[in-house]
Amino acid sequence: MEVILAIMASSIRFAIPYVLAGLGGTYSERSGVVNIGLEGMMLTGAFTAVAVTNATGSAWLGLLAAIFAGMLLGLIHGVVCVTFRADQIVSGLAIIIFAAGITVFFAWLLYNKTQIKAASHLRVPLLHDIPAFKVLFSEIPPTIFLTALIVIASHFIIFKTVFGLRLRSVGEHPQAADTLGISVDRMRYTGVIISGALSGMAGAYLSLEHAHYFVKGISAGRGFIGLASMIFGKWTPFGTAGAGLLFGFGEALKPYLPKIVPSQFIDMIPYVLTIFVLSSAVGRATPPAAIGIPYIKE
Amino acid sequence: MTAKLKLDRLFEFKTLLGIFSPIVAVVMAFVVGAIIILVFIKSFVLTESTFIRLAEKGVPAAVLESLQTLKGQEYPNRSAFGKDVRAAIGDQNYAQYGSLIKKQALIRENPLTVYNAIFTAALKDRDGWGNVLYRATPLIFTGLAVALAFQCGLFNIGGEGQMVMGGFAIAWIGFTFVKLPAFLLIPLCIIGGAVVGGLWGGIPGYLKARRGVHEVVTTIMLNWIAVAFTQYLTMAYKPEESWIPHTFEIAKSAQLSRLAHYLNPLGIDFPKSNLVNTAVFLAILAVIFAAYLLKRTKVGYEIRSVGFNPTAAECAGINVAKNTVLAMAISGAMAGLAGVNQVMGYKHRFRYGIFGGLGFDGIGVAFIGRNSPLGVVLAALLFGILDHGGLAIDVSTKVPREIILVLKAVILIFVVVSGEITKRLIKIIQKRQEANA
Repeated sequence: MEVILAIMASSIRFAIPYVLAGLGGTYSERSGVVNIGLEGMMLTGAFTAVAVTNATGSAWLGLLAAIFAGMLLGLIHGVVCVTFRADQIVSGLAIIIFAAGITVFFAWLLYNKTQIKAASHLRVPLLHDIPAFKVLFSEIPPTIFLTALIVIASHFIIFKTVFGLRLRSVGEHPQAADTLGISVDRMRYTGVIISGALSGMAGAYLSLEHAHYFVKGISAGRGFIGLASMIFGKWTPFGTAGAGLLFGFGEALKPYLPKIVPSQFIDMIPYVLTIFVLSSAVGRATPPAAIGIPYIKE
Repeated sequence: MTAKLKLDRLFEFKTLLGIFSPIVAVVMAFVVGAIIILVFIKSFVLTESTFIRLAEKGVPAAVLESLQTLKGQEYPNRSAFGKDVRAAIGDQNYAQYGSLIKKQALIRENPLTVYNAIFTAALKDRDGWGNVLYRATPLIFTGLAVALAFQCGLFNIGGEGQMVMGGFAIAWIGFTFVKLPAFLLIPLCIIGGAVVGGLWGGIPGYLKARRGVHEVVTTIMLNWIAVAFTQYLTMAYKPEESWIPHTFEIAKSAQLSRLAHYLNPLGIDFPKSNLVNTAVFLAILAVIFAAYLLKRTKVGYEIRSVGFNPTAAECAGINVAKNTVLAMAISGAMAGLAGVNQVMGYKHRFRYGIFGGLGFDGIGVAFIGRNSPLGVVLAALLFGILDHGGLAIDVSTKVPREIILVLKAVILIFVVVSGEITKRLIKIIQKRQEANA
């Protein structure tokens, strides 16, 4: 029983960065912009969170700064892909390379090392002091509740609000959206910047809550698993969250598996499943129609 | 006649811009890099000349005297320096002269010194050139891989996966068939790497052609599958006693010799430690093969037609599905060959660490080279210079070598952006010409 609980808890902990990055990808791709730069935005977020936390002493400020850093990279991606209509994949890749460089660059510059301990962690200020909640909040990072909230909110934003309808229409048929007076560029910028914010948050979780330190390349492909979660979840928030939890479960199971099952095969599962849902005949995942195509207003 | 002339001129203009936009991108990246260096790389140090300047600005001798204790010490950040200065001269003096002292003690790194260090280390002598070639060799393979697929309208970002799969195959053949003589084993390794890389590249091609799955997503996913799979294989073929995650060593007969081995007997002075090896000739062959394939063969013509306009190609009787798979397979084979340099020429074992990132760098190389074989060579040399020269700046300057990654990323962004601007310019000129005609 205890083992089951432990696996469940660690599944959720592993799943959070996947879910957040996957949600970020959902916003961006629903608006028609491919964002493979999630990984880079996450890495930058992870570094910024630790750097700002250590400088100010407040982990919440660190989280805010990480979100801001992610948004900044999202903005760059938007300028390159939406305004200049350049290749979205190359831009995303450039963001990944940029993040790998700039984080270590500043790590050397500011700390003279590439592994930096986070001075403080995220704590819920008032609830944490109530004894009844103390156990709850010290065992479970507050980011979990935040993530759950964001998942539910994203579902409503994307499927139940005017903004969501516009976001999706811009990703499915930009010409039609444009004729109805929706600014395609503005919607796409919004989508990409939200994706940056969520990825930055995923990074902050990773360094502040999950590892308690920043280290060179800490994101280690989690942005791509986020991408896989998004596809496996068919570009919906609940689907993405479910897929993220599934992949997190695989990760959590690793230490309990018998030796004959190599852990590397567990690592492959998200990617194999993604290829499978994209190519299978039944229950196939179809991306937004206008994805990856820059919109040129005639 | 006039219409044709105008078309010719347009074509010239296009090629000209095609050559200029990567150069502009590189220059812009160096400018951005210079700004980063100027803004962020600074230190505070009190030298003899700082004291003279401070005295000229009217700082009393008594204050300067108490500052002498800090002379020569280097501070990486402003607050630590300020704290020590405050302690040395007292709060009152600090309030009056603190900001002046900090301003005078500030030293910034000159970006030109940094760039000079990069290019000097890379190009000053044969050793530098050799190492640049060594670093450019795998990038030529992975760059060609991306460029070839791109000619077919496919974006292969799976170079990383195809490269490690091919690289492992090379190592496996190398340490399994140890009895074979070099003239059999070396070609076998090379063919093995190309075939396995090609098969791995063929999967996304097949999924695209038969199931309509976009190759970008599948290649990303296959990259990570390949990395995990080769990690598993590495552990399976790891020598018991080794704590490093690498495979057995390949047979002596499968190892490629370094160029020094051939150059020294000819009387050319070349350091034995230099890593450039005979794989560089295979890279040159690959470039010639790619250029010939694209421009002079039926296969190349079909691949380019599909890339230019798949619908038109289909109507002209070209099998789009077949060419999609074929282009991806050739592309994967090219990426698979990167292991010839890394495994047969350098480490003589398989280890993921010797590959990490070369596949992704290949994308940058292809785009900077505008997806032409010759362009790939030039771009690979540029990346080789940056990679090898970057090692020097850690030693000779205060700039961390990760600035190289930043430069590469910025080059990449500016290349695609300037490419788009070029396209728009050409369109505007075309419209004007049409209006005139």
